[in-house]
Order: sequence, then structure tokens, then C-alpha cells
Amino acid sequence: MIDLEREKRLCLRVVDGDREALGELYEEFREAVFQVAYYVTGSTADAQDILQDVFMALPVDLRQFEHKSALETWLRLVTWRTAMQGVRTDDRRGEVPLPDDIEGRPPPSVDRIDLDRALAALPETLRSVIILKEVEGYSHEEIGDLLDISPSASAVRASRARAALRGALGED
Amino acid sequence: MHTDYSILSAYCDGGLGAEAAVIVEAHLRECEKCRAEVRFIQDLGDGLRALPTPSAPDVPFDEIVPPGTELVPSGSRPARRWWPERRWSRLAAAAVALAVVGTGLSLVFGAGRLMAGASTLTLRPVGGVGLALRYETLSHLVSDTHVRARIRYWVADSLRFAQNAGRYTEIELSRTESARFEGVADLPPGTVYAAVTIEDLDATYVESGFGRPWEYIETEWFGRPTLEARRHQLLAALEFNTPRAGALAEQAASEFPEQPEFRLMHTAVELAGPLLPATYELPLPDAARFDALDRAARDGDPGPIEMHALIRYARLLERPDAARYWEGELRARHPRHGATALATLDAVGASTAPIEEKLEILEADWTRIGAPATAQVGLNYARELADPILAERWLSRHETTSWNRSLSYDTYVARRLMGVPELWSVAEPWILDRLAESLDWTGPARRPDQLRHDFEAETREHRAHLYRELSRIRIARGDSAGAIDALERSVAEVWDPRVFVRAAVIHRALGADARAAELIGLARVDPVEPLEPYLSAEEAATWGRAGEAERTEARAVMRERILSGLLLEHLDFTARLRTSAGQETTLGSLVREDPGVTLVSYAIGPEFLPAEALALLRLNADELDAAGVRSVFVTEAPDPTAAEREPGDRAPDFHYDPGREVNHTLRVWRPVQYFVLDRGGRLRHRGEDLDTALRISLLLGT
Repeated sequence: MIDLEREKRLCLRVVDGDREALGELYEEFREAVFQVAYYVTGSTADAQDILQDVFMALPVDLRQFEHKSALETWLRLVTWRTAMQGVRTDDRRGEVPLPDDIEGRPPPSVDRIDLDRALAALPETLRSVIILKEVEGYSHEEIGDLLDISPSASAVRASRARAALRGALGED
Repeated sequence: MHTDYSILSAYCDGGLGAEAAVIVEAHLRECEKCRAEVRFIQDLGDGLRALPTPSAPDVPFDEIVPPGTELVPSGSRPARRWWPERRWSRLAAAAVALAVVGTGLSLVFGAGRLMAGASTLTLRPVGGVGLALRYETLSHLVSDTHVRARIRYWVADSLRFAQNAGRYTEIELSRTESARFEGVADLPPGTVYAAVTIEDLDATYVESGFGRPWEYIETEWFGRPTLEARRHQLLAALEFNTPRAGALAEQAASEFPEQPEFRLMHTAVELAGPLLPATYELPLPDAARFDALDRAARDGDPGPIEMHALIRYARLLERPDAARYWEGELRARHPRHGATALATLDAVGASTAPIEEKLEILEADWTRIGAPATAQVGLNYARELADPILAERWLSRHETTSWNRSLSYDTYVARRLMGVPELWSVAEPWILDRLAESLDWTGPARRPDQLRHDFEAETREHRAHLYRELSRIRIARGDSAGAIDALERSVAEVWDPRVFVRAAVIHRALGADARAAELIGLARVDPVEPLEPYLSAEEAATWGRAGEAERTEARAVMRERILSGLLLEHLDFTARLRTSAGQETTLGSLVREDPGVTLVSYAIGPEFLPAEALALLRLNADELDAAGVRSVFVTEAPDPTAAEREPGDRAPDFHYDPGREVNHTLRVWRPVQYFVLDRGGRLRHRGEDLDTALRISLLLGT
């Protein structure tokens, strides 16, 4: 765990173009960054690209960081934004219809392996919202800010994501 | 009737209002199916949280950010100059001197010299002005005229980390002696940290000295510093000067009676220390400072940069044991850190070994660390050996690792290479590459505080220079056609009579008399005196006299080339200045007192204005008068010689820009710059070359 003082020193050095310091931040936070990138993209290869994008841009992006939150929190947000930009650029947004027979069947059990697969099959926009909500614990207001959508749109997407996951899990 | 899925989803998220939630809960009590849906949603959350995510692939950092990657594009470095919106009031006369930490400053610059230093920063109040800062360094780096010092300071509520938001201020210090820089500043109350940076004249950081050890500044606001300022001051004093800390704690306790920490601290220091003397000599002697730093570092967890600073400080104080200790620690703990490379460069620089041996050491370090500084020093050594193969190797390393390169710096490197004829074979491809890529350098290489117009003018100057160097190489190998091609390109880039003459001579040798005469004609109508030594009277005689028609045409070409594309910026005339007699005035009054054109020579300190520039201005004084051009000198630092002036003294009468308001208005970015304001007071030119500013002034005036 990196202490606050050292974190600040490292940030200053990175802003100043110190490659060694950037390497230290990379070792410290690459798991966190990769994890978020993977949540958004659902792909190891894409997540790795985002990992690289985030760290390459860090010397410039860090200038905006005012140490009002922990560096890791800020990095996770930056990663979400970077990853979501990629998603928007790819224009892979799609609205999935609710499974039409959702009311006809009992909810399936949540199996870890199936859930993993079902999550990967979700469109990025829905996956982002459900992960931000359930895993990262953000409110819909916060998710709205993060993804540049309204809080109600976030709630709708969460609902759609749940329904889609329910449908996908129930298919097997 | 089941509840809508989106409502259940919102219910689980806690997103329903209290009334709606009660209704849903009532329904859930009745409906097994909806309860199952809610359980699913909750299980789904648990399942998602329990999902394993793949670990980040074990990709080495070098693959993520390949060595040599430009981490911070040079054009996007933080703006060099920034001035807070609000004006700081003058400090109370009670402002005092202050403390110090030995700061290791490192620099690799020039011909393989390794520079190191430890510094002392002192402040003293100056009546009616603010604080005088004196920065003395033990380093010999300051003998290099290509470096300068600045103080960058932070106010208490933002501390050093606020630099992310740009909330810091810089003061350029003037060199007064080889190892001393001085300046005057109105420091804001509560300034608690300051760092001295040493930079080259292109504002490229050489060393920034973040973190400990830092200089510490105490400032006061009508006798009362901010709480934060006192706290940080105390922390710093406790580290280096306990008696001082005791006195400060006592003072702070009276200023902030609501803060018990100061009383406790005072009691603790009193119990631990001797009776406090009434006055304190600051700063501590170097030896005491070093011991305090050394002790603090051994007890703490110093980073590589701090260890390197300690090594340098120890060496300067001739403490080889301590130097060896920290060198060992640095190499053991951070074998691949840039600071370790700098420590090697320190050792190599101090060594009397032959250059070949030094290069071998650098080669080993390069393989292990690949630090940009190593490449720069390696290139300098290769240059001293005049070895093209070595020079090419180190030049290539420098090219790929230095993130602080710019066309300006690259042109400097080209000039250094051109100084050694054996290396012209290395210089030529370097120059051609720079010329090729310079056209694309409109983005990152431009400093954020530099206007595009200025950047393009600067780029043209550098390109013109590179073309001239290229022509020298081609002339040397007998390639006249290639040389004239390069010179013509230089002619096209900037208006420079010297180049016109040189190109004309070659054109004539090649039989192109018409073009030769045309170029000489242009050189002759140039309004800035003297044309010698570019074209001596004897040489001029060999060209014959141009007819009036030719001269008229040449003048028209000149006017078109020099006056087209000039700036047209409206300035803030309220920017405040002081005359050398201490009277408040404004930029507007300088312009409006006189209906003609105004040529402003702006220097960060009076001594920065080159003697040649003053000579050139004197030489053209009559022409300037005749054209109605007023020459004005402005400086950021007060002119120390102003009071000693004899009537009739020909030294320039400097206006003083105490708040740097004129600096800000004119957008100065170099130590010395020249500005031309037209009859309407609009800014028409800003640049570093006095010849150009003179030309524009004379043409606008007449």
C-alpha cells in the first residue's frame, strides 16, 4: 500500500516526466486500472490497451488531479472514462430488448460461470452501469456524471442489464 | 398483477421514493414471484461482486511505456509564467529572513560538465518593495550563462501539491555574481514552500527538486502568518533548528491562542532544549545543515532524488564517507533510477580519467538505465573526441530519450556539432531531419503560453539557421549548387541581410549575376545600421551602384516582407510600471506620451540586456529619432544602478515592472525580448532579435 506522502511525491515526479516514477505507479495500480478496464470492455486485450492508454496519458492527466481523493479512486474514474470513450468510439452501443417471456419463468439461479459469460455478452453501456452500480457501489447520480447520462437513464440501464442477465442466465 | 421489472430494479437500488417503496413492499409481502425477482436482483449483485476478474497480464512497464517515449510533450509542460489574479499587498516590514535546506541541484549541461550544487536562500525586507531574495549556490553550474534560476512558490492553502492546478508563482532571479542570483518579490502571505529550479534559457527543466529537501520560506501578513504557514514553518524548523522552532511555537501560541498544539510544542521544546537566544543567525552553517539532513534521511525513508542530493551536498562539503554511504544506498536501492545515473555522471565528471574511459562507464550505465542525461553527456564527450561514430551513437540516444527536445534545443545541438568539422557528417543528417520534422512541429513543441504567431516566427528563425549551417557543409565539400539551394531557403525563411550577402557571393561565383545583384540590393536597403561587417565598403564597391528604380523596388520588397503578417494585438494599457525615480505609471502612458512608434526592450534584469543590443540601439539612435520611434527599457527587477546615475549617463533608463503586469500583458517568455507598438499603441511585433524589432520600428515609423 502506497502512503499518501509517497503517492504525492510520485505524482509530482510523473507530472514532471519522470519515467521511473510512472513505472512505480504502474506497478502499484495496474491491477486496479486493468480491473476497471476489463469491467467496461469485457476483453482482456481491450483492457490491456486501455491500461496502456491510461498510463501513457498519466503525466499529462495527473495535472488535473488535486489529491482530493485517493489516487486509486481517481485512477479508476479516469480509467472508466478512457474505457467508455473507446466504447463510444467503437459505437457498439445497442439497446437489448427485455426478454419477452420474463414474466413467464421463475428467476434463474445466479451461477458464477454463467454470470461471467452473460456479463461478457452484455453491451458495454449496460455492463458499465451494472458494474458501476453493483460492484463499484456508485449511485445512479454518480454513474450519470461518470457516463454523461441522466440518473434516470442510469437506472433504466441497470434495470435492462438485470433483465438481460436474467434472460441470459435463464436460457441454459 | 406483478410489479414492473424496472420498478423492482429501482426498489433494489433504493431509488424509489418512500411512498412508492411502501407500495412495493406491500406487494412483495403478497407476491412470491416478485419476491423471487427481488432475491434474484440481490443475488445478481452478490454474484457480480464475487466475480473474479482476470489479473492484469504480467506486462513489463517497458512494454506499456516504451523507453524513449515522450512522457510529457514539451509543448504541454505547465505554463512557465503564471500570475495570480489578485494582487498581493506588500508585506509588512516585519517580514523576516528565513531558513534553508541544502538543496541538491543537478544539471548536466555543456561540454561534459557535471554540475552540482547546494543552495542557500535568504530573504530580507526591502522598504517599499517587498522581499529581496538571494539565492547562493555552491554549484559551479551557474558559471554557465545558459542557465538561470527561478524561485517557484506555493501559498499555504495549496502547498506544493497545488502545482497540479497551476497555483504556483515563479520569480525569475537575476544573476549578480557567478554563484549568486537575486530578485525581489511581493510574496503573498502564508507562502510556505519554495523550490529553486535551474533551467536553461529555453525554460527546459534541468532539475526541479520536488519533495524534500526543500527550501522553506516564512512570510508574514501584517505580522501574522496564516495558521497553515506557521504549522509548516514549525515542522521545517523542528527538523533543522530546534531553538528556532521553540521561538516560533511561542510566537504561534500567542497568535493562535485557540490552537493548543503550539503551546504544547513550545513546552516540549523548552523542556528539551536550552534557553533560547534572543536572535538567531540563519541560515545554519552548511555543516550543521548537512548533519541535520543526513540524520533525518537515515532515520527516514529518503527517495532516490533525495539521496542523490545528499551525495552532492556531502561531496561539496568534502565529506567523502557520507557521500560514499549514500552512493552505496542509492545504487543498492535504486539501481535503475535516473538519480543513480546522475550519481554516475557526478563521479565521471569529477574524474580525471581519459574521456575514452569515461565513455565506457557511461556506456555501462546507458545499458542499465538509459537516462537522457547520460546520453547528453555521452554526446558531449564524443564531441570532445571529435569521433563521428561515437557522436552518431550518442546523438541517436539523445534523440530517442530526451523528452525536452525542441527545435530550439535541436538547433543548439546542431551548432555544437558544427563547431567540430570532423562531425559535420553527423551534423548534416541531423540538420536535414530537423528541417523535415520542424514543419510538423506546430503542436507539442509550442509552449502553452506561446502564441502561434511567435512560435512560427521562432521556427522560421531556427529553420533559417539550420539552412545556413547546411550551406556551410555543402560549401566545404564543393557543392555550390547545394549550398545556394540551402541559402535561398534560408533567405525565404527570414529577412537577414547577412544571408542575402552570403547568397549573393555564391550566386555571383556561379554566374547568376542577376539574382546576386537582387540580393545585394535587398541587403543595401535594409534600414538597420550597420551593414558591415556583412558587406564591407570595399566589397560593396565591387557590386556597383544600384539605380533609383532598383532601390525603390528593393524597398517595396522589403516592406512587403517585413511588414506583412505583423501582429495586431490590443494591449492592456493599465498594466502598472514604476519609473526609475519610483513614480507609478502605466504601459499606456509610455505609449501615449509620444505619438510615434514605441520599441520596448524588456529584460528580466537590467544586466540581461546584452551590451551589443545597447550598442546597436545607440548606433541607430538617429534613425530612430528621425522615424519618431521611442525606445523604452523595462525590467522585472529594479535597476540597482539607477540611484548612482550621473546626469548624461548613457545607460538606459529602465522602467521597473514590479508586479510583472507589463510582462503579462506583452506575454514575455524569454529573458530578453523586444516589442514594437505602433502609433495606436497596438502590439505589432514581439521577438528576441533586436535587428528585426529595429527594422519593424523604423519601417512603421517612417
